[in-house]
Amino acid sequence: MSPKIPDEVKLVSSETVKSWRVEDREKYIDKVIIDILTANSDQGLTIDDLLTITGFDRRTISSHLTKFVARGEVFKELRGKRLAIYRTNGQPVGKPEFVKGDLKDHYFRLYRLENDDGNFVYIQEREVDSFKRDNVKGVIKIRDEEMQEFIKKLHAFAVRVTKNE
Amino acid sequence: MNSLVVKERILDRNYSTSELVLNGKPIQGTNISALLRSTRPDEVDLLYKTKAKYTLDHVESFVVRLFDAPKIYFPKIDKINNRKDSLEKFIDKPIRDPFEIFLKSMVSLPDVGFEFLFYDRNREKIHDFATLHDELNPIIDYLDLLEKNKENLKESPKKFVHVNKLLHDAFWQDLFARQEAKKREAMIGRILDYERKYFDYDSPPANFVDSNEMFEYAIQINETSQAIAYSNERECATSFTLHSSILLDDDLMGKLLEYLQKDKTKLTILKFKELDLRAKVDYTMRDNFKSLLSTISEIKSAKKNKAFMLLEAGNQYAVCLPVFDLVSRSLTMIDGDVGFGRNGGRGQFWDTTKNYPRRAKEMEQVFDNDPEGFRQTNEVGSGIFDLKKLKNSIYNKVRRQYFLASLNQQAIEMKKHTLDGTSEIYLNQILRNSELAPLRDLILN
Repeated sequence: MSPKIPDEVKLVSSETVKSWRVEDREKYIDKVIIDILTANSDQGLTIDDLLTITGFDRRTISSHLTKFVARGEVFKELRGKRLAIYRTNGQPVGKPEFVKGDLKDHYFRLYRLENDDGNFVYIQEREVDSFKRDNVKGVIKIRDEEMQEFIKKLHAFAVRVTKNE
Repeated sequence: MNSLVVKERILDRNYSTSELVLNGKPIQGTNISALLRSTRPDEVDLLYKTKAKYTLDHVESFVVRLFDAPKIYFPKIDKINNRKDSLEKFIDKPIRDPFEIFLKSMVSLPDVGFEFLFYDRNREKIHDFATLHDELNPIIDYLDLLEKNKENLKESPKKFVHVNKLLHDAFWQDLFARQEAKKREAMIGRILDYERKYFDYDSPPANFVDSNEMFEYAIQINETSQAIAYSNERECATSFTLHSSILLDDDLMGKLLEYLQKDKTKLTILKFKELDLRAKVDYTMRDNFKSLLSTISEIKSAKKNKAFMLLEAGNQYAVCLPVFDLVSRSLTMIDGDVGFGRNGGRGQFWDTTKNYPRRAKEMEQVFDNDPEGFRQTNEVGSGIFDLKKLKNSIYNKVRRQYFLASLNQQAIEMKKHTLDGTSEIYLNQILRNSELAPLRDLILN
């Protein structure tokens, strides 16, 4: 089955993207890859698939995928010795909730996430620059079954470290 | 995401009325977007106070040109944000500034105004805007070069007209040369940064179009801007600022209409410079403008989620009311009107019968002839006790408010007639016996 390209994805030539400012280019490539992977989350995509659709350089795609995998936003599944399939970490359910920190340039997005491995609370730390450019800084994903224990330990840890201060 | 949603569209043959939600703010069509550009009086402040005092149901959006914004708009937004940040540290839910509440319900739209890289006016303001960031330096270099040439040719201004055109085209040709792509894209990226920070919707910093070549550049800038906006989870319009002469170029008009039909963006913003179809008797131009209206009408019937906006509508505003979803006019009535100083400090006043601005003295006489009739024209008019007795400073605010209220009244009536299936009759009524009568040729139905 040929990969799906969602309507909202605005594809421009890789030649054009190369001449963009670094911040525009990085954000654009992130968004295109994530949107295309999300639209094809059922079967997943290979680097070759993404290369064919986007025209981006293989190394560029690979480095962005490595970043997503490290952050837990994308799963990498090996089929055979060499073939890697990438898929997003599941489908967010409903709208995210927001937690604002004390600093105005960052905040947290709380998602409900469902995938074949179960249900999760998925937290993104996002930073916003002076031009309202919003970037994912870090993520954490907690399985429902582990939530109570996690909160208990986090709370105890927070009490302990703040007391020590 | 700052999305545009067309909630409802009622069709009356070629005409329509729509309800839109733009960046979460509901607005009704046809929406009258005030172009705010003056600090004397402060038009941003004036619109805020006007909306607080009067209903003006169809005035729910405004336009600020980017080069005016650092003076009249950005400081106001920065002040709100700084106040919010400092208060939120101490108070859970600080009381919102009334101006902030006003902004929450008004859709703000940027106008890049790059046609003033071609026209002589506002160049100083564009220069000042360009000093905001290094990435806008190509604009400064170009304006400096232009100024030098102007100085050298001050004895032969006619020659400068040609040089002006050559330099303007060369500026864009250079930016589109392969080795300058980074400069061009950095400039586009930085302008979109400002739009994202201060406005509800992005508009591409597209060049002024007066030829096929410039049209191709404008398409590229549109598509790049839309891709950058998409990566920031923003929606970006398709925007073309066109010289009126393209209405004489069937080939270019064909390309424009074809592009509009294929274009997938939700909002299309058009602006024509030096266009007055009322004053200029040119049937080719009128026919081509009618084709444009007709194409937009077809697109809106076929694609529910598309909306269209006309900037600096000028005398075309009335025939555009039932076609475009947003129509913008300058509060000073004539786009480019800066001459109220010539009339003893009292600028022109809108005549709702003639649908045309008139000298203050003439309108004072119209008022004296039938004060009651005048007061019934709209909600701002109802509060005027004696037009002649208004002090200049008040008069120059009231004339802007009255104009806005007049357009609002026509937008309300137009919506009502579209719902009743009589939009054509109402449009005919606006045009008949008014200064806009020659534009009856442009009625679609």
